[in-house]
Amino acid sequence: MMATTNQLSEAEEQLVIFTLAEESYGVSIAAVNTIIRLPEITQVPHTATYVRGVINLRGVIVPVIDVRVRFGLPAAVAAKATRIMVVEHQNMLIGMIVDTVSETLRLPMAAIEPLSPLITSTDARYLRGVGKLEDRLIILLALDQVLKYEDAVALHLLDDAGAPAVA
Amino acid sequence: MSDVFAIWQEDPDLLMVFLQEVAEQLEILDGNLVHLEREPENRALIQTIFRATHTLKGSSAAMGLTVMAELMHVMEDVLSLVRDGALAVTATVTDALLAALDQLHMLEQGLANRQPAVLENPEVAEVGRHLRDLLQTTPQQVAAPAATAQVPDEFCTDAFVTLLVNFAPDCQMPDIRAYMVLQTLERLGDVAYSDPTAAQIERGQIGRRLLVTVTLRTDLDEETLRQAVANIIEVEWVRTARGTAARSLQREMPSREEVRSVHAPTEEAPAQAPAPGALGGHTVRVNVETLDAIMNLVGEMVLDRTRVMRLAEELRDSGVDNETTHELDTVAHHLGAIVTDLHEQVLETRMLQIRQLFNRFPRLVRDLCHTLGKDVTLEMEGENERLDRSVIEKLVDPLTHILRNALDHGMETPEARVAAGKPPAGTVRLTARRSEGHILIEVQDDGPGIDVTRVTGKALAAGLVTRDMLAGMSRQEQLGLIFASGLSTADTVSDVSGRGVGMDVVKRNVESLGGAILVQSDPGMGTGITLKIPLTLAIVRALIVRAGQVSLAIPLSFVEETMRVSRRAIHTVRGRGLLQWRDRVVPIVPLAQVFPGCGDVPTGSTRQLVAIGYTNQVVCLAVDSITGHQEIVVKSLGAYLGEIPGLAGATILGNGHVALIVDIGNLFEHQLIADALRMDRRLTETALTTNVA
Repeated sequence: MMATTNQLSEAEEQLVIFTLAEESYGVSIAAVNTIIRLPEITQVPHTATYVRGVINLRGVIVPVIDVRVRFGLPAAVAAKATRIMVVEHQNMLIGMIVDTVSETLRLPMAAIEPLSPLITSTDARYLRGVGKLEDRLIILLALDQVLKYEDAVALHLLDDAGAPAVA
Repeated sequence: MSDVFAIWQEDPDLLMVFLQEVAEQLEILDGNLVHLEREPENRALIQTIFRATHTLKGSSAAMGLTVMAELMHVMEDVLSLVRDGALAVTATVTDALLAALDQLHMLEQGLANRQPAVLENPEVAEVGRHLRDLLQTTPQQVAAPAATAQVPDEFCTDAFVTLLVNFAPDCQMPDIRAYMVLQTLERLGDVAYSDPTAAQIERGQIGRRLLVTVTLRTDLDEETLRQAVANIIEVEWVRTARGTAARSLQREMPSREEVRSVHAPTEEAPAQAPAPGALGGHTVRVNVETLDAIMNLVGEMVLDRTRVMRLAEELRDSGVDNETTHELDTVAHHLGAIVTDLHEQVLETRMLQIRQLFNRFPRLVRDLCHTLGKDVTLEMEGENERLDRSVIEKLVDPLTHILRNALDHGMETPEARVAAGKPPAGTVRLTARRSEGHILIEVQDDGPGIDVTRVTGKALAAGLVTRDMLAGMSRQEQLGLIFASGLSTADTVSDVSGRGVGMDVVKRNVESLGGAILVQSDPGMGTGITLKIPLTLAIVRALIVRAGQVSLAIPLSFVEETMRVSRRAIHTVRGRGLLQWRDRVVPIVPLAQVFPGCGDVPTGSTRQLVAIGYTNQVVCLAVDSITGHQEIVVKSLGAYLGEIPGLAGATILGNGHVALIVDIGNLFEHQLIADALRMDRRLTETALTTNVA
């Protein structure tokens, strides 16, 4: 019995599919905590450019990143379909702003292929493969890499002293 | 070894329960081992230590942590000798036990962080060897074989029965009782082996050893032998085994602990020192994360309660007045009362005894005394007071630092003390007491006190103050300079107290808790440092301001004044705004500049200013508007964003939006504000002249 269930879960992966600039991306359903509409986001100074700020998720302060900015695309503009996909990563909750969340689906492992650089414009280090399902392509995210905090802005703090003053 | 970790992968809950137990028992050991050094005769203390060790041995063995279980085993053997009076509590013994305790802490940390390498650490075996050496030296001291003596193999056959006999700890003359046991058994069979031997007993060489092993050749059954021996006065328990089972009997020896607790549960009732960490009454273990989650949800309910009550009010105000609105009103108020109670109850569950904070300090003081060659007694009081657990965690570092300072700088060597007509041993009193919603934690020493002229001298030399500034300061304010950044009054920088970073960090840590720190010192009267800590960290009163799109909360305790001033009242010197405020000139810094991205630098004909005071410095923060002031629940910004300069965390406002909490101490170190303040000092005169002109 155990062997059978194991085989099944090994043979396919259950994914939450979201879109970003017309492309479909998949994240393992196990990593997704919840999906919410865009609430008010409080900007937090001195953070990486792709960090949009923090939100109140049922009383917990959760940081939110703009996946578009992370991927080098223009920043997300709030629209009706815009969602925050809250994922659990290394015991932390992190919100990811995505264009839409379309569905969940099961992808057979056999349908997953290594990445071809021609397929997408997205920085390849954030991806771990491409799933082919009928006529669709689903890009599988390497969540570790996407969520790795890279604070490229820390140094610019020092510039503040030179900024023009008030009055 | 990695097998253990594989099991944990599958059952992380098991690991958690185990680690919790380890943490609890280690805490008991932390608190009591140092005491034992001072009170080697305190039986209740030995009993508590023994019990904790025994528990750890059992649970580590159950987890398959052989390395740890072996260390616990040898610790337990040493402690059982101590308990049986066969081993005196010397410095060698406590040093070895404390070294083992250090290794146990390392193991705990390593296991918590899932580092299999800790189990390979050779130092664990090393401290184990030290302890084992103690076991081997004892026979010479008391001429009695060690408690782990083995029944010789030739007697481990079915013809022989081995008895393990233990006397009650309060047994008056264990040697006589041992002799009685031997004599009784000699009537029931041929005694082939005994530990101690009859000769040792007759020569009075067994001291207060409470355990006797006897092997005899006999046809009688075990139960008859057991009964015969159990009838002897002051025999606490007897265990028997026939043949090869005798070997495991030996190994199971320490389980007498369990036997005792069954037969004599109240034996230690009038204990001189209650076991720290002992849980009384009906308790359950709750995961801290669960508690935090409940706290968050209740926090949300508090907000919703406010909203519901406001909606009810709005309905009434808009003229809707019928049964339904009355009902809503009643329900809203009832809900309000329940949520308030619930909130208090949840806060209550987060409270821990200060004991959990204080327990680590006897060890610290002991070790520091060794390092510094000083003799200091630590007295503690008020360990039963309770504080929010997050506050307790954040007080460890500041108090450690203060105690280090007290011993390093605040205490003379024994020789110097005698020369000053004081007793050679110094005293440091660590007390906690409650006062109006706060806990006052005080560290008072009977050292020489702080030499204020030395403090001011150093402050001058370091350029922290000018002579004029000093002249205008009270003695108390001058003493307060010990908290200034970059001031160290020790003539020699020592390993113990660092290099002039210290008290300023302590002050900042305490302030980040919404607390305050005070120092009192009179020459010859010692030094007292008092921390005034709010009972719960969770709630702070704060001024809520807006800068651009962002709401920021400024802890009210730092706000000197809020004011709206005309642009014309602001002087500009070298591109910086200065305001004449009370009798001084203070720099104006737009909050939007301190926190880039949080809106634009304000324009318009007036400025909303918030004067912030911190260690005798004042800065006016320019903000867009002031929303109001309220009690806020302090939350962390989380590990993902990490520490952000100038921010102490975040809070959720009544409308559900997030506001960022300004860390005032940290803000004053911000380049912009530091620059502004430096310029303020230099340009004060110029500015005033400009003003006149």
